[in-house]
Amino acid sequence: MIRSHILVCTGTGCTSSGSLAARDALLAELKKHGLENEIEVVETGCMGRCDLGPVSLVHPDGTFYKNVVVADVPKLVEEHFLKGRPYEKLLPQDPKTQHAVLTQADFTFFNRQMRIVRDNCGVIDPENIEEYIARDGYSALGKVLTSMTPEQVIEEIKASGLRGRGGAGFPTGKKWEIMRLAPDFPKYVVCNADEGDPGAFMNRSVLEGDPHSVIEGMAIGAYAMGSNRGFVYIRAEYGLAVKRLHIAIEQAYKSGLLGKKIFETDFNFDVEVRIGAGAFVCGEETALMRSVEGRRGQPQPRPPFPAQRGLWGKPTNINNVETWATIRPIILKGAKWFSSIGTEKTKGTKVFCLAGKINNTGVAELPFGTTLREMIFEVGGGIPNGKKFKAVQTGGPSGGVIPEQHLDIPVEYESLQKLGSIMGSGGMVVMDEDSCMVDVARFFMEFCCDESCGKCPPCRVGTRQMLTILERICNGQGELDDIQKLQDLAAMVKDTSLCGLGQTAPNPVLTTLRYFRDEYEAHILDRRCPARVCRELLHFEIDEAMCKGCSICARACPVQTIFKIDGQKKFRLEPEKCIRCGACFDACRFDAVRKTSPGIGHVHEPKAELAAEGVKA
Amino acid sequence: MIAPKEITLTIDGKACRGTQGQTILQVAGANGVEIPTLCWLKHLSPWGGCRVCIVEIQGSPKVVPSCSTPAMDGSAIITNSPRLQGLRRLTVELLFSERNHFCPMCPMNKGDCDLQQQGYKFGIDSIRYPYLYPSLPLDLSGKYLGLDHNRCILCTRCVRTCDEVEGVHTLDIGNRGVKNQIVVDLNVTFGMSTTCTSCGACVTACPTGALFDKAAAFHGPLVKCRQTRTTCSECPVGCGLVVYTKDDRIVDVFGDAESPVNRGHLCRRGRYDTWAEPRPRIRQPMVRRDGKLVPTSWGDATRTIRTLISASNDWQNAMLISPRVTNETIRALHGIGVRFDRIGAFVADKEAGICTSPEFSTDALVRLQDADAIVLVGAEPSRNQGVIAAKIRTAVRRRGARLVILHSRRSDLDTYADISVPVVSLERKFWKQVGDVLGSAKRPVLIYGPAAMSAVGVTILDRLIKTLSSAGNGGEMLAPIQLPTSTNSLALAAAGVEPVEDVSTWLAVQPLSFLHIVASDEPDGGARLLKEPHVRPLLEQIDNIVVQASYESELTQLARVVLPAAIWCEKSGTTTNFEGRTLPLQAALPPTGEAREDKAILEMVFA
Repeated sequence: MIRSHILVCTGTGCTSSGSLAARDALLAELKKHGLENEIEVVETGCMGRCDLGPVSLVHPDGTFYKNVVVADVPKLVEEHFLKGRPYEKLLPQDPKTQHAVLTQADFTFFNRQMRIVRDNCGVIDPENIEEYIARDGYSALGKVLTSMTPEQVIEEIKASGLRGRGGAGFPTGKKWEIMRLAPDFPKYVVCNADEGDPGAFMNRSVLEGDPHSVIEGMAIGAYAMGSNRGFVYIRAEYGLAVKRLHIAIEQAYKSGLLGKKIFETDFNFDVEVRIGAGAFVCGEETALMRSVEGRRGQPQPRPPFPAQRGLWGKPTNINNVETWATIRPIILKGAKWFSSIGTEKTKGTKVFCLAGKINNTGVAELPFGTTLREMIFEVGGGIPNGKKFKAVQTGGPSGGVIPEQHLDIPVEYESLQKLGSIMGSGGMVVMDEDSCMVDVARFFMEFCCDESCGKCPPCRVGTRQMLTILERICNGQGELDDIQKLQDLAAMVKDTSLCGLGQTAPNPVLTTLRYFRDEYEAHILDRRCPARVCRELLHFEIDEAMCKGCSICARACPVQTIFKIDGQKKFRLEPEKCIRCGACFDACRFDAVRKTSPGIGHVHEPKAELAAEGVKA
Repeated sequence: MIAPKEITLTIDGKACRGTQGQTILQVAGANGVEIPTLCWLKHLSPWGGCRVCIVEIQGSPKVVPSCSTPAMDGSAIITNSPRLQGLRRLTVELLFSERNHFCPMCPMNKGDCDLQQQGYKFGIDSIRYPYLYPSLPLDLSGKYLGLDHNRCILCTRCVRTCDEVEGVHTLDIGNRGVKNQIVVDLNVTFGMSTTCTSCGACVTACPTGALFDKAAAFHGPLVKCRQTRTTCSECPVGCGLVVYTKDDRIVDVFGDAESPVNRGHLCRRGRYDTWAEPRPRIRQPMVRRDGKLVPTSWGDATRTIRTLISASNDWQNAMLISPRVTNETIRALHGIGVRFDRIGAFVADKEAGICTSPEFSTDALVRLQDADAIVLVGAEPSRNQGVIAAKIRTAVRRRGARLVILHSRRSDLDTYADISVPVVSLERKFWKQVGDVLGSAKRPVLIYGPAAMSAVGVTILDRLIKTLSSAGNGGEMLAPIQLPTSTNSLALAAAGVEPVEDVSTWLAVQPLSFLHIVASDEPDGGARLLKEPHVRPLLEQIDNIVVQASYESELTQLARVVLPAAIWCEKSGTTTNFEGRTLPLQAALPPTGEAREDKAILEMVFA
């Protein structure tokens, strides 16, 4: 008789922090106490708090444990399962309340969420189809095949107001209808799982935690659109997701939920996994299709749209992982229920990835209309170490930064666009006062430049030129007209580029210029980096009053430019040879190394001289 | 077929007509509105990459590439707003900043570098952005063409030409983003390529100096050259050529885009072999004195030949003529025929079979262009008629046409074939396969060459014709296409000149006292005659041999008199291609030295 379940997260984050070893230790420990028939260990997908990993959840009481490493397992089993009380050491702390929390329900990170797409994630074993079926899995497909016409399915999706979760927010029902009406045959459906934004892992967590929901959504879509063949295009870097997807497809075939005559109707559907070769641009649908066909992944002009001429010249429908996973709940609970969630223009929920300088890093599913402030300060638990919030980058490298004054806008496609950013796949990278916005723009531009396919000159050369200019600004070699040049170029690249990558690549530059122009000017005119990030503009020195003479800085210095002051137990930094690597700053335990950018803090050179130099350049 | 729907729209305020499915660029072009382009070429699929042809559609904030966007009925297009001008200008400026586009040092000599022209058009007199100028390699390993990556703007005109016109897909883009480069095969050099046919179409397509003809590099702009339109005399396809000449010298040879035969495409033989490598020419008449050939005048040479021919005894006088000669030369044979007991045309290997029943296949190229199944028997287009091979490859690769090859020698076409087997007696299994492959063909084409004319071959041809006729064609008997190897052999045969395949037998029929060999501009000077078994000793027995040829060879060593003949680009007149089209030859250069055209020589010497 099983009296309790302990769910061990085996998502990629927790696996890499040692959840598999912890699982084995748990099994051994339970066996040691003769509890193996009372307590069942279940491997689940991502629970959403990768930074606390490995995480576990105990049912039925709902106790949520963080950092369940092998060393703590014996004590955990003893406390929780033998003595019947929570093991306090492993209970997480809510940064909002500063109290240890017992269950997910007590945790602001979890209790503000609304889980529709990730309903099963972290709850069921993703490698076991029966657990999925036990939670109404494939009943939506059964309902559709046995009691609905394809037109009714499309009407339902249209009525739900579901919009594509890949970033552009095109109405899904409308997209399906266009595809259904395309006269050609065969038709293909594709799941776009080429999630490539740095700091985005929502699709990954869904595929790792609940792959069947995606397959079921695709099957429903295929039925509605008149297709018999689907592809999941997934990046090779997602090894675990690929593996679980393969297992899920195989199990679905064995259970007769894929293949011929599904639910004993005339509907046949086959799904194939296609692995991407590591190009960001292949998330763009026309490039994705070329890659599926085995050709060089680069975008094609549209029209023709995929619904007219897609894979191998045939009508093709491409939806994002999250969109496919949303189909099942809509069918089961109805369009009316779904459309009651969210805002007027954008219905339902969205999975966001909170990353960067934020307390609660992880995946959170929230209804549209939640404000950025709620996301960052409630769900995300605010900024660590008492630092000040500066900006949030939404939508990945092609999104834009949003500063403090706009934090109260409700998040949806249109509102973000109005601020110069995009929804994208739902990434949120939070930056605090220590982030240099020119450097942020440079970082994202470097990414876009690396990932540009090179087909059209605005993106190929334009991103490279913007990067060149940003690099020289960061290096303190900015020229007076660089801001104008950046603006010209950004506008042109946005207008003229062939695909979404180029059209959105200038967003970080445009938004940082819009909201943080003073930082650019400080770099160019004053040759200083207000956030003390840009290495070439930094100055290091040792505050003798604070120095305890421990010599750790001198030993950390790679160029031996820190010397002991004769006759004193103090150290001094000779600035001539300093390469401004910051090793001494990081090493010092007494805050004796000062990192400044001339103009703030300790001014070494007179500021006027620098300004004059800036004007001259 | 339903006629495409007519649409009307305004472009820059001008009312324009077009048909549904046309792109904005096509409608604009047809209505006399010019939109600048860079990566677009009329005969290639639209790429939409260069972003120079962008236009605005009224009511939409976006700009769209006109080369790939369909024109919509009732829409209003703006092609020339200040916004568009600015965007285009910056795009071109970025291209100039990307790689080395310093014009003075460029091998580009097509005279109209598209990038340079766009630079002038948009008034780009300085580059505001940093020059990136990566140091990229220069590939000069190809025999005829060079590739300088530093001049490349990655428009992929060459890539698409290689794929869509020549059909070999040797070129593509490698790497990503700003590191993109044109790659040959799997990133090897041109010299190492196993697929490149050296057709030179990529050079023709290149808008800058990135791909160039080595022989033409640094010889000045082509716009300053004299252009002559003529016909290639390397094979019976009869492709149109444009010969660029300057100072009585060929600078470059391109395909004639207006020729209905090749529409601008050429193969290596027509594009380069004829001129890009020097061959030793015979520059003046020569007569053998004291065992040595000495230069002399036309008058002296003519007198010598007349003496030789009238002095001959009961033995026969004969003439062997190359199948490369013009129709006019063939006609001239009528007038001088009385002087000779026998006239034979030394056609290519196994070609006599075709010449005994010469047939011109009207519309062959049009049918090939449209074919959904191609059967090739005993012909070797990828060696002998490159432009036909290109059409076959593109039919298979772009239109999914089925291909069955019965070959005498393997070639690269075999890799595209559904079935490819040697021409020998074939079993039932083969016919079953052929039936499966060709069963559903609606527009089949059967091409046969010299090697099909064996006893087995003819039987197979008959059966193939029956198979294909029953398959498609609406019950009509399929007309096979005869594809000879030699340039004008069908016209020679049609004029009644005996095709000679086995030269030694022909020579041995009766002893000869006088033999006039018209080798014309055979690339080897006619020396291929000597390669055939027993021919050399037979020729050595003949006292009086006259060799009329353009190039020096071993054959001239056997001659009493040598006459200098004009080459292809020095000839005027007509030639007849395998379709029966009469195609014009136009002299692009005056004859070298004292060389004269074949017809003129024959009439002067034997009239």
